[in-house]
Amino acid sequence: MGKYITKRVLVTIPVLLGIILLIFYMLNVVPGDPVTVMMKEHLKEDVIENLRRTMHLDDPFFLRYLRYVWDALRGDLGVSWKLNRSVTALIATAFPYTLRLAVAAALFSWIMGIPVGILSAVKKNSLMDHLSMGLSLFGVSMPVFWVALILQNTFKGVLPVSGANSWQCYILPTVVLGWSSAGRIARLTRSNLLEVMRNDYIRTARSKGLSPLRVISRHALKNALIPVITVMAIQISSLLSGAVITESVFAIPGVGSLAVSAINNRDMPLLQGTVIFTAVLIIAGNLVADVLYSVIDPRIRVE
Amino acid sequence: MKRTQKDLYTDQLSHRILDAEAEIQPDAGIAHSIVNMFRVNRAALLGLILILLILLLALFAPLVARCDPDAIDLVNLRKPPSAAHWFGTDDLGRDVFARVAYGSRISLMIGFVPSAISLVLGTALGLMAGFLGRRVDALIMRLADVVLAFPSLLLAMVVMYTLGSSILNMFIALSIINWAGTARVVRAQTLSLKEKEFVEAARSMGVSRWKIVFRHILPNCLPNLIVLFTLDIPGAIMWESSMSFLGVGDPNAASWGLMVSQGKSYAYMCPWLILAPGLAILITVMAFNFLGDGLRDAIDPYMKT
Amino acid sequence: MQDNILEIHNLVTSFASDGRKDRAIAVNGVDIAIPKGSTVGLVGESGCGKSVTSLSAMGLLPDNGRVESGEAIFCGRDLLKLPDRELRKIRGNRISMIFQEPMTSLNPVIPVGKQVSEALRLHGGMDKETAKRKSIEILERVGVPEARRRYDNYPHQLSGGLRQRVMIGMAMALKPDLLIADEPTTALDVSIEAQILRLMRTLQRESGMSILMITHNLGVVAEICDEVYVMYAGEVVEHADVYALFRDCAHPYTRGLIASLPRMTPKGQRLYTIRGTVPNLRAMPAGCRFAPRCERACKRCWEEKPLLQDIGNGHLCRCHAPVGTNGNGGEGNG
Repeated sequence: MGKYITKRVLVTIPVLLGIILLIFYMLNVVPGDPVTVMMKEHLKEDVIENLRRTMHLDDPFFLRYLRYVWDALRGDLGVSWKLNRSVTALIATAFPYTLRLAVAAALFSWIMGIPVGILSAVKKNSLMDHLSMGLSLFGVSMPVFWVALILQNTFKGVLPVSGANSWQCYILPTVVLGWSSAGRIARLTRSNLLEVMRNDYIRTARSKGLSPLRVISRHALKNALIPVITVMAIQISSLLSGAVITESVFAIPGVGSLAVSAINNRDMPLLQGTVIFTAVLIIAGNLVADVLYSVIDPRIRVE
Repeated sequence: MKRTQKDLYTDQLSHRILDAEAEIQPDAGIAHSIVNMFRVNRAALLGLILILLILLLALFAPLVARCDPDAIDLVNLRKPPSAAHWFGTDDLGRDVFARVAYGSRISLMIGFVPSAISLVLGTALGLMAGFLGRRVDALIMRLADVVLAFPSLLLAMVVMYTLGSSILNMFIALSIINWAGTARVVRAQTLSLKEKEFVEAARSMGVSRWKIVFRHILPNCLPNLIVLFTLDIPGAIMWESSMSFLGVGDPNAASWGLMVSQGKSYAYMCPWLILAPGLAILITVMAFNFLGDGLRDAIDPYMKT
Repeated sequence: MQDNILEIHNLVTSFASDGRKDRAIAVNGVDIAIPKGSTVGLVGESGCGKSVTSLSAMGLLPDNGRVESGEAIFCGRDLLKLPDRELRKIRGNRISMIFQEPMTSLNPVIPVGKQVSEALRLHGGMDKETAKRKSIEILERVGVPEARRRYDNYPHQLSGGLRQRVMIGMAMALKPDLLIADEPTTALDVSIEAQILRLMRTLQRESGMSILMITHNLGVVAEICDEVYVMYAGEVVEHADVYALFRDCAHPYTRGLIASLPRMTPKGQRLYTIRGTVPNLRAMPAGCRFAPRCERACKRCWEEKPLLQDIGNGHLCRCHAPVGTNGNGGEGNG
């Protein structure tokens, strides 16, 4: 068990370095010198030269990369060109908003998705099954930004539609962000449960005289929900993608909004920091899901 | 952990409750099961019909639209839907219906081109990883891990930031985020096919490596590739519209996402500005999802319900 | 007929398959009687409908299966007409089942002991502690060593033989009147098979229960059964007590099955095989269902469906020209 976790953690290190390398490379070959972006064009030649040197812009690429990794390990992601503040500090301020939104949306999607999936599987091919499965595919197919706009305009005056000053502000963004995840989870729960219900041990359970409800709750559900945990990991990724859009529509000052503003202002260190930060979150999420999986599934626990 | 599940499944298959079932249902081949799927799965059929309709709309946009999508009419700004302008007019007085009709060309292209690129790229890399193994495999799969560790939207946005906002760069960005999933599937399938008897037999007869890949392995991956391709298309449309909405797309390509973005400031007063292009995205994406879902059910017996 | 624990009359079961309107008939008018305290074998190849027969009686058919007609009388009540709630009181309590594959038939994520005690708590109304104590007793009884420790083990931690012992313990927990064993030893090694069969025998002697042994293995039948039903393509083709069957089987199919058993034959002699395969359930021959594979088939066999007839001393056979008679199907010459 401990060995498994250690191995799993070690595997992520090259991936982590790869992530930073990829982003660092892409953002540092970008046309447009950072110094000119920062200072516009009103600077004298020698000042620019000086600045370039202090920013190590003339060093070889690989050296700059290593320096960035080293700084990142110590929690220093550079300074925002536009806001002139530490990127780490900016992310630290923004992250709680994103975290609150993502957690709320995840909870929303489970509370909606899992029961609907179970009901659909139990009443397979019923009207309710077709309806909820159609609806969930509908949910998955709706563009997040569009749903956001529509809800925002529908609930204008009823609920707060922008900012993050009170818990009510999170209601609409949570629904918007959780909606498509809920659809995905409902579909997955349904198909897993149906697959599990075909297993021999379900027939054994029925042959013992257990009621259908008991067969599902005692024998099928645990098996069916184990793979759903994997989806929680994938969900983190799609929630963070969705958060970029949701936050920008509902003006929530989270990490997503930070990334969008970084792009619009061509603020390279900020963009770099936010993207790497989210990637690390996703990797950590995958790690937690894998470990959770091995804790819950006795077949893996022993190995 | 995937293996345990698969093992369970194979066990299950070999000791089915109804041992007669194999007798009742002879394997009729994939083409047959797809045709059969359309008969049973109405949603997939609906998806296929909608896709054909959207394709026709894109092909015959000039005939359907009646007016120039770019004709500015400063007298009729933000007019609600009417007989003359079915979906109303936008903030420059342009006909929204015509813009949606012409927009289908861009959105379909955005759906198809990057999906095709990532299909080819992902298949090639997946085959290489699975067939060559060792270092090549490790390298390609770590690369895939790296790509998959990003939220797709952010990675695509970074690519657009680096390369600049144009439709060509949009293709590149979307291909970069999509190839990794395909590569993983193809690799897994190659690995399992490599162990199969018919491949070993071909090998023992001295058939060359690449011939084995093209004769035996690729055709067996094809059904899954079709499903992946079908499901990549709505994904690409979705990401592109999201990026255009956030202002990272090509400002000159009037895709549906850009239209929603341009209409958002007027959304409350003139809802048709966002409803029409938004619905267009929804219907297109849903059609592909319906079709892809049905194809997957028909091809992949794991998911069969 | 008072002394039969279960009587199945004229059972017809059909299956639907995707995208087809017609249903395949998997079991076609089967009659089976299981006398109290005896062991009845139900023999046939894969797909002949032997498992489906038992699953039909227990109401455990998969979703696409349906009983079309017939009855299954257990203690004066027709199981096929009982509401699900009533049937559940019988299942696992008075009739238990064990299945072929003990790996997949036990839930992989629940400790085996819990799976045994489940039925005890449900039907026996025991509390958790009593059920646990009783389960450990049962596990010991069926020969699981260190039962107390094994109680908390998961199925994958046990060997195949132990898993099947657990299955048997589960089924025997409430001392059922009838045990339906569906290929209980097929997945096991031969030495383990003998142990399991011996265990079943012992348990039967102690409790006086009846056993319906479903198998394709005539060796198992010879070992444990009192009487035998032979099924082919959804129908019973022969029924006799086990001695009569092995001594003078009448149906060519049964003869083929017996002849294809490996035995001490002189070197070089070929093992007998029945040619061909079981016919498709949707394309049954009009006459005798075995005719296409039968060496003795003649014109009449192809055209006229034989009935299940008594050929003496309650020995039933579905054949126009049973082995041992020298007729070759009456009038027509093949």
